[in-house]
Amino acid sequence: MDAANLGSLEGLQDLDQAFGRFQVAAKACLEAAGNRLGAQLRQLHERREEAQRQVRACQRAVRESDEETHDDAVRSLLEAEERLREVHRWCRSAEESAQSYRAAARRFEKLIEADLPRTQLRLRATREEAAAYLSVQLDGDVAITTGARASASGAPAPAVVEPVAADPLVKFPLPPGFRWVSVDHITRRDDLREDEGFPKTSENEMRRGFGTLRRQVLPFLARNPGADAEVFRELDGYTEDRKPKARQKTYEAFFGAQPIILAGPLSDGTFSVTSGRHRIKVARDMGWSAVPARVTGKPGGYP
Amino acid sequence: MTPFDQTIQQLRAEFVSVEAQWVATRQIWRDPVGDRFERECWDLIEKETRVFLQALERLAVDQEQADMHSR
Repeated sequence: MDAANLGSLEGLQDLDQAFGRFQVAAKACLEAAGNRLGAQLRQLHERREEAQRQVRACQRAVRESDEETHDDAVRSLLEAEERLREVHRWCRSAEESAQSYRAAARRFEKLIEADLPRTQLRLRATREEAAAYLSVQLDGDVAITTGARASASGAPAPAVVEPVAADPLVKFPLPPGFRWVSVDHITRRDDLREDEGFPKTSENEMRRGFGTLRRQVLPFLARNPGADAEVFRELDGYTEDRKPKARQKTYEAFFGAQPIILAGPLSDGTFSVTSGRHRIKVARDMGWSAVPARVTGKPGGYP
Repeated sequence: MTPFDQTIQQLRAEFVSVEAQWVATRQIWRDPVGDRFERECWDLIEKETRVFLQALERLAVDQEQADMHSR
C-alpha cells in the first residue's frame, strides 16, 4: 500500500468489518427469501388444487343437472375452468420467476460463502504486509496468547514453550501438534558438521523463510487459527508479483509434511533432532530463541 | 413493512456501507495490489450483489402479481 499509514491500516480493517456485516445480512436475506419463496409457491399450488377441485365439482354438477339447472351448471363449469387456467398460468409464471431468482441466488450464495471469505483473507494479508512495512505493533489487535487456544479443528493447540522463553516470538500460537522449543534445549550433538552444506535449500533462502515465518505466517496464524497451506497458497496467488509462493512454502516448511521434529527430552533435558538440522542451524545463526517443532518420545542411542 | 422487506433493506444498507468503505479505502489504496483487489474481488462482489438485488426485486414483483391474480 503506497504511503501506508495507520489510517490506511484502519481503513482496511473497517472494510474487512464492513464485509463481515454484509455477509451476515446477505445470509439472513438469502434464508428469508428462500423461505418466503417456498411459502408463496406452496400457496399458489394450493390455489391451483382448489381450482381443480372446483372444476371437478362443477363437472359433477353438470352430469347431475336436469333440464332446468343444466345451463347454470355449464356456465359455472366454464367459469371454474377459466379460473383454473388463470391460476395455472400464474403458477407457471411464478415458477419461472422463482427459477430465475434461484440462479441469481446460487451465484450470490457462492459469493458469500467462498469469494467473500477469500476477499477478507486478502485484505488481512495486505493489512499485515502494510503493518510489517510500517513495523508497527497493532496493540490489542493480534490476539496472541500463551494460554491454551482452541484450533479450528477444536483441538487445543499446545502453547507450551519448552522451556519458557522470554522472547515474544514464542507467544505466537502454533498449529495443533506443534510447540515452541528453546534452541538452548536442543542438543548440540546433532549440529551440522563443518563439511555439511545446504544441498536442498540454500542458506539464504532458509533465512528468508524464517523472516517470512516471523513477519507474515505467524502473525497471520495468530489472527486466523486453522489457516492451512491452501489459505497461504491463496494469499500468495494474490501478491505473487512480490514474493512468489513465499508464505505457502514457509508454512509447508515448518508445519507441512517435513517439519522440524525433535525427540526427547533426553536425560540431560535436551531434545535430539530427528528432522530439521539445517533449519535449526539457521535459527541459531539468526538469533532465534526457539523454533516451532513436533516433539516425539525419547530417541535411542542417547543418554 | 414485512420482516422479509426488512431483511432486504438491511442487505441494501450493509451493501451501501461496504461501498462507502470501499470508496474511502480505495482513495488511499492506490497501488497495483489495490488495483488487483478491485479487479478480482471488489468488481465481482459489486456485480453479483447488484444482480442479486435486482433478482430479489423482480421476484417480489412477480410473486405479488401471481398472488394477486390467482386469488
